[in-house]
Amino acid sequence: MVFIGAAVFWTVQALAVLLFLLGIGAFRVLVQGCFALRRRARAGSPDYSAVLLKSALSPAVTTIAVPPDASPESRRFARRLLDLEFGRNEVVVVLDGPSEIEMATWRSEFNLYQSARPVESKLPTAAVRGVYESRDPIRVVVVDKEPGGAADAWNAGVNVATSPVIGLLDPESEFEQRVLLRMLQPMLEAFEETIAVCGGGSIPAAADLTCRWGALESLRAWMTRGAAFASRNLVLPIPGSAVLARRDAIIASGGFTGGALELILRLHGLALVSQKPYRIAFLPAPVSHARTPRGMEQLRQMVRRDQRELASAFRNRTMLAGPFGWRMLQDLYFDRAVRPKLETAAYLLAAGGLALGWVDWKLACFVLLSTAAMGMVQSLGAVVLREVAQPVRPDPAQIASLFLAAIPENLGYRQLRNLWLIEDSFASAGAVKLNRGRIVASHPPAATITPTKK
Amino acid sequence: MTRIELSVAALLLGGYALFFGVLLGVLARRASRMRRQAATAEALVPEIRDALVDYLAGSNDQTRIREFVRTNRLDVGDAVLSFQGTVGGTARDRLCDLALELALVHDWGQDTRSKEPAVRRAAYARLAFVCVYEPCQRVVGDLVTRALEDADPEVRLPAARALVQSGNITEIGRVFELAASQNLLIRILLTEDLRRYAAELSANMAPGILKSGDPKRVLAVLEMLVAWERALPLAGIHELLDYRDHDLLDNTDREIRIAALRLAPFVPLTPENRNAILRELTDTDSEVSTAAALTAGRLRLEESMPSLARCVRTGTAELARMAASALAAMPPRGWETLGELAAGPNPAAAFIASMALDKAKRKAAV
Repeated sequence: MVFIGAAVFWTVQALAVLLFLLGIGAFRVLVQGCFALRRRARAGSPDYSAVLLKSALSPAVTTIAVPPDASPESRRFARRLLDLEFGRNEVVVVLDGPSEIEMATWRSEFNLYQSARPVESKLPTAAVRGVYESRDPIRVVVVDKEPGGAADAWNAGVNVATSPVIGLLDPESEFEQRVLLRMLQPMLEAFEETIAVCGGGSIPAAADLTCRWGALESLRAWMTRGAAFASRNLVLPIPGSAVLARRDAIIASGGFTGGALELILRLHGLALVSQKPYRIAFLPAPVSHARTPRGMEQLRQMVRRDQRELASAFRNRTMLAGPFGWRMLQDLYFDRAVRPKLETAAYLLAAGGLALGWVDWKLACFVLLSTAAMGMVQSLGAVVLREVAQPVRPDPAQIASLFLAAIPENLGYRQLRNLWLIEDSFASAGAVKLNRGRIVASHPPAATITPTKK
Repeated sequence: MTRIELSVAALLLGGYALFFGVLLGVLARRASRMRRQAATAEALVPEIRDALVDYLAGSNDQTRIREFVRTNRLDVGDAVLSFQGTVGGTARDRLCDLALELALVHDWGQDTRSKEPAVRRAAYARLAFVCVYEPCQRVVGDLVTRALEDADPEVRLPAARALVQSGNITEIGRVFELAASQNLLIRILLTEDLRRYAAELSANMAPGILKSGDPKRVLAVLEMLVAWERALPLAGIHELLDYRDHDLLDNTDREIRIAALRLAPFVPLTPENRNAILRELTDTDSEVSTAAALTAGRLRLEESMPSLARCVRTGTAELARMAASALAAMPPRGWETLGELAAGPNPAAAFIASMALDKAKRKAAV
């Protein structure tokens, strides 16, 4: 019994030290993000959207939408893409095995006719049944294809696209109409080297406490995956961010295997292995952000979606980016996969040990400091450091509300979120709603180019 | 052991908390100061603009403006710049003269020596605005000319714009040459500024660069010329339509031929150009022949019809579609050819031809 007690004591102690070190590591990444944002803000970059809108030299962009059905929401999203302010924006809507009724809905929505437009087969996909264009003066192309999964549909969209740049916007995000113009600018600064741009902001804080927790979650992700990773040229998209990618780069990488996160990982991997100078730029502007979660259920959905995408990327990291996959994902792996498990184990052991007298109150306090207090430091740090880095007419009330939300966030919600993260780490990333409820496995492209280190 | 760890952790976290507390206090103060400044500017800028509008309308009373300059010099500078794009001619000259008289131009000249990149860029942007006025050009001197070689592209850009404003064709030619070697963003921005000098530049400067032998610059200039979308007095384009350099590994020669084909509808159609376009229609590279089909359609080259019909029958889907569109643009003979193709034995060609014919007839009916 004494031996078990000692083992529990030392295990809890080791876990607490480890968690404390992980917390310091995560904080270091936040500070790195702050410096990156600060450098960028000081350099300043004027907005040339008005000129880019008019210029015939601006490359054309194809925005791809893969609607799961023909619901009013899906059609509204396609319309929103058509309303984007851009000189040469073409919208490709890929329907993955639509029913007759759904096809008829889309036909009447856009006044479609069957087009002779050719479809390249640069990326292998399920068979395309037909390509349709609108009789109205709008640049929309609707692709009717055999069911093959979301990634397959994205690849079909890339095949149909004729523009050198592909735009990916999240249907569950709020984006401004000038998003393509704003995102294109960093790409044009070094068009040869820049293979993609990820842009967007964090969720704005609202009155509800769950909204503020969502805003803090999004802010931390924005400062780490966006700003901090951008300083190492390893930027990854966060939920709700917009992505522009060069079509030739997508094709060279073998196309989509999952969402935007996996695509960007793939692009990084391929570029690193080719050893040529490349850049995936980050635009820290509020051109696009995830929708503000209203209530605990939506917050849960937000965390689930992100964690499942990350879990899928962790699992497939070698396939996506070869030996560079771990290098890109290690910080996220420790934060999203290792820490929640260690933290939950530490809580359980500390609570049990405290009840049985194996763990003293000092050690229990140390566990609490290494987890909850360290979490508060990160959330408070994210709020304060963002304001230090981007002083754009801050609203003191909003800063204070986010600042204060960090306290209850780490005394209750954090522990619950750990359980969510653990659950979602083991769940598959399959999209439930896609393909009208029919689950179709997304197969990797036949011409998979798995980067290998030379 | 635990006690030491606990003390270290508490100390560290306490330090963090203190740091954030202090930082939050500083931020709150800065936020309130910024809000105050913004509120003042919001109230003041319309007044400054009103005073400037009065002055531009002919009033010679500078008392209010001078008062604003004394109290809010930076806001006056911003207000002057806010007229960019809205005033021209004598009103603009008057505004520039005022900026000179109030020593704002001197301030901006000083700011170009700042170590803050944002301040330098803003200063050059302001100087670019006033450089249209000759006395301001004399005060600015060769500041902007030297800035063309600055390491910061965001400084080179306003400097180039300032030279374009000056209206001196030699300087404008320099900017044109510079634009051809800059990144795509700067090229786009300068192309728009240089548009009004399109005729002079394509007659005097462009031929030299097009014959320079530097494929990257040649391609950049061709793209700029196409982007102007204007009739240009440019000769010798057929040499670029036939441009082939097998030493280039990155397909730049192909890109040059495609860009030259896009430019062809904007330059005089000489027999050499016509023959070159017809030759490119039979190129083995489908992208080149597609561009040639597009150009043939735009120029309505009736002698290209046999080649276009062949492209519809045997070309890739995209080439066939483009060739059919080109034939559709040449009624009645083009339509007759499309009708024959639509009734022909090749189902793919028949489908594409009938689609193009239908579309052309619908368009004609409208």
